[in-house]
Amino acid sequence: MTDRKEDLLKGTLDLLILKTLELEPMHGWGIAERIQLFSDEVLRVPTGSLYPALQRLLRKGFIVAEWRTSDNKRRARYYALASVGRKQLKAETDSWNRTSMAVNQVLRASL
Amino acid sequence: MRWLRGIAHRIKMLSAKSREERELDEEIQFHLEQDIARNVAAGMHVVEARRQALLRFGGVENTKEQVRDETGVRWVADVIQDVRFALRSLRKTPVFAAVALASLGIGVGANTAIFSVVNGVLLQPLQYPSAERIHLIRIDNRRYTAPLSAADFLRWTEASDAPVSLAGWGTHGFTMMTENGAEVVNGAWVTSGIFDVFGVSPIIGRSFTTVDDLAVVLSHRFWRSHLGGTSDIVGQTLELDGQRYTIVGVMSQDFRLPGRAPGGIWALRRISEPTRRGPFFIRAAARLDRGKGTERLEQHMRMVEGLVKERYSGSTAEWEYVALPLKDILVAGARPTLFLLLAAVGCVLLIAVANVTNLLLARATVREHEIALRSALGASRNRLVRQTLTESAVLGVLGALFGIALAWACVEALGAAASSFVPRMDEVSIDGWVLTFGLLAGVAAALVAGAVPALSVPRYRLSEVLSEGGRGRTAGVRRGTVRRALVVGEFALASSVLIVSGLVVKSLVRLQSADLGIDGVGVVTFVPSLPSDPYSSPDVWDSFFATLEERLRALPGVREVGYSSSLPPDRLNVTNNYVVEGEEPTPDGNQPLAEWIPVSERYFATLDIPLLRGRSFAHTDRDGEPEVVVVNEAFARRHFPDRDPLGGRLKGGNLDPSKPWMTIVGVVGDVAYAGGAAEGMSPTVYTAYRQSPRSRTPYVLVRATGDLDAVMPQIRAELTALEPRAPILGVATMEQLIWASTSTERARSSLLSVMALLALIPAATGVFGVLSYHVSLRRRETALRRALGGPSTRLVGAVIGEGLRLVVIGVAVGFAGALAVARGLTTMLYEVGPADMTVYVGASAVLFAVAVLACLVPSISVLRLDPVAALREE
Repeated sequence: MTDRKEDLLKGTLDLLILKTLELEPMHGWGIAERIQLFSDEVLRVPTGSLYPALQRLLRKGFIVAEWRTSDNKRRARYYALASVGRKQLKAETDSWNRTSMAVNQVLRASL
Repeated sequence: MRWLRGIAHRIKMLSAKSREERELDEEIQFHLEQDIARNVAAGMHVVEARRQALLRFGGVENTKEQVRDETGVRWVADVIQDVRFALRSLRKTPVFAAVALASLGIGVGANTAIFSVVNGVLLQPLQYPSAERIHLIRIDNRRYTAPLSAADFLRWTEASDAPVSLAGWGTHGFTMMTENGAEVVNGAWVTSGIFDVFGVSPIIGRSFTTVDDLAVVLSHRFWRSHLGGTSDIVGQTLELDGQRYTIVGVMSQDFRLPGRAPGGIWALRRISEPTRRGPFFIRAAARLDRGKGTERLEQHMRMVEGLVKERYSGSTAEWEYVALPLKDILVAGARPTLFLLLAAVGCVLLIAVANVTNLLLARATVREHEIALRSALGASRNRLVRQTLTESAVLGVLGALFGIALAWACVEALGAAASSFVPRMDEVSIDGWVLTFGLLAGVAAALVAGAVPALSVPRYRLSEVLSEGGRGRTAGVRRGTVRRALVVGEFALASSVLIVSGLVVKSLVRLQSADLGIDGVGVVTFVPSLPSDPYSSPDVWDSFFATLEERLRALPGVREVGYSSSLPPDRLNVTNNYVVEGEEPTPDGNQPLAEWIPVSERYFATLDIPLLRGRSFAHTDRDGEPEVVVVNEAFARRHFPDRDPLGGRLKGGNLDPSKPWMTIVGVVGDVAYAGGAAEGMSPTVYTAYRQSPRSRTPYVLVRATGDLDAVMPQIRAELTALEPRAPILGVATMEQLIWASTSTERARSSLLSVMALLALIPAATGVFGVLSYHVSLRRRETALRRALGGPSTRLVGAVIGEGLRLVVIGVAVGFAGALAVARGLTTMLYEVGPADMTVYVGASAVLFAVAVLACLVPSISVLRLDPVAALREE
């Protein structure tokens, strides 16, 4: 836990949230945990950004929220991907792939 | 779609604000609990686990705030907060609120009221369907426009391939015989196409057809009042002017012909071929066929002109038809006055804006300390500016509501004042347009007023403001200059309005005391409406009038009885073209025109019109005898500038060799007939009534001593005894007619005077406010001077001098503006120049009196100042 955690690149948080929710509906804490887990503890989601981002995605209609009972019998707000969000995820994934490929290409460049 | 969802989400957020807050709390709580649980599972002590979780989470409040920002309703919440704050601060400063709201309310109210008239009269379409295609057709004879003659009307209707349908009408008082005796019904005779031209059809029965003969259509009002509103009236008859007319239809409630008088009935009239081009008595309207342009109408008019000239050779060559869009002609008279009033209320609003700006600036100075503190506590400049503007908008909305309420209360009184010069007044109301206008005017005014103080919210250097002891001197000086400029502007506008209204009022005074050429005091006039059978016979008419004259003269108190077909000051019935012997026109030339008035022998004596030369008419001037005329001075001046008019000869109408010459036997003083004193004196030809067409609705004039109201019943009794079938119309004293003839000018004057008053009050408040502030800024200095023994009078003088300096500049600017405006107003001014000295001097006196009054209160406070207390304050 003392390892250096990479801060999230601006704008990628939304993409990661959408991707996480594509797997299954999840509450805020779970989303943060999963992103950390999937990135092998490299990416760390600051809660100060997570909840505003969720609110933003709700407003844009990419995700929907619903109160449900969690695994440990607690009431929690679960977020799920909406159909618009699914399209958005696809578009953003493509765009991310293009960008990262391009960046990698530049970094690998040699004369 | 996305933005719609965004809006829906925001609305949900706003309405569910508190629930949302609770849910956010719960969500964060859940998050922390999950973290703690995980930490505990990893082997931490529960206290440490909580500490770690909180650390990891970061600032809870900060996160909440960021989430709230993301809900997208932040600004709405801010606005609500600002509005609440604005209302609270208005409540806390009741004097400021009252003065600002009163200024805005008066400004907006005056504008809304005048706009409601402009909207109803000038902007809204006429009530007729497709009214833009209706034109009035008149003859332009180079001096004015005249109605059509029968000759013109027939050529118009018989021309094939016309791009228009044409109909004519003339107002007429029908004498209707009922079981209770004779009654006069005001209405009009019309030609058969009249309802088609105005695009309406009866709600009961039908319109006229080309085969109808004696047919009449009733107004809704007449149908209700006289026939009980029963539906089976079609086919019944009415006896009008001695003939039986068959009722064919009833019009809807809101139909009326253009013009002032509400018509009761519309009776069909057939136009027959005349023997000459005149007289010109048919008011005609044409509806342009769908898809036909006005160029096509122009072509048609030129073609009809040709037809008329072909048939009636010698008719004046240069006369042309003109097609005047109905709406333009209906509102033409009102337009200049309405624009003047709009300009005046515009000034009132500008003054109100300047006044409110002044108040806001003063308040901004007072609140400098508060604003500095708020910005020190982290409010951004944007936020502060927005807050200031919100306060102005709140002020604007409240002011607008107040103004609209004022307008609502005044619109009836305004209607009464304006209906004398504004047609369509019954169509004026406060509708959606007017409300929108009022609200926009109020908010715009307040925002403009608020912009200056809002933009002067400085980028504070905290230390500077707070160390100044809460008194921002630098900003204060800058604002002082703005405020002085505003006072100058207010006085400039107020003096312009005051002077223009002064000029108009002086015109009215001149007009009301103008010499009309008659002595109307003690003269009463009325119109006996004679049935055509037997009074279309001149002999019967003459003996009727001779007997009436004799009997009326025998009444106690009656001194003179006269008859005329026209009445001063504004009831001119006939204008005629004529030829003076020795001045015969070329075949294509224009003929001169004169007022043409058949009168009785004693007419001049009855109205005290001076006989300057020759003789008046005599009993012997009758049909069969040589025709004689009496002319007025203007006529004599026009045709006999340097020779004796007596014995001169002329002919009415065209130069027709078969007609005898009429000889001038007398010259009388000028009398105004056309439009009161404002229209001036025109050449007039009086003919002897026994040698002229007899009117079945003659004006009878009676000069009596004593109470005219007491004489009138006796006159009625005599007339009823003589002819029970002749109802009496239009009973009025000459003084009433003269008074009524200036009603337009009177309405204009009183409305403008009100505007001037409305302009003066805020201007005075403005100078008062600035001086009070000026005095309060210089308390220390004044106190010092007082303490050192400076004479009070000089100190007071300095304050008043400061105020008057601003007023002098303002008034000077205002004079220049007023002069420029007045030059464009010459048609509204009567014997008053645009630079009339007395008006300018009088206006200055009023302005300075008001200014001195406004300066007195703040300067007296200088005297009341306790030097010791004031010096100790700082």
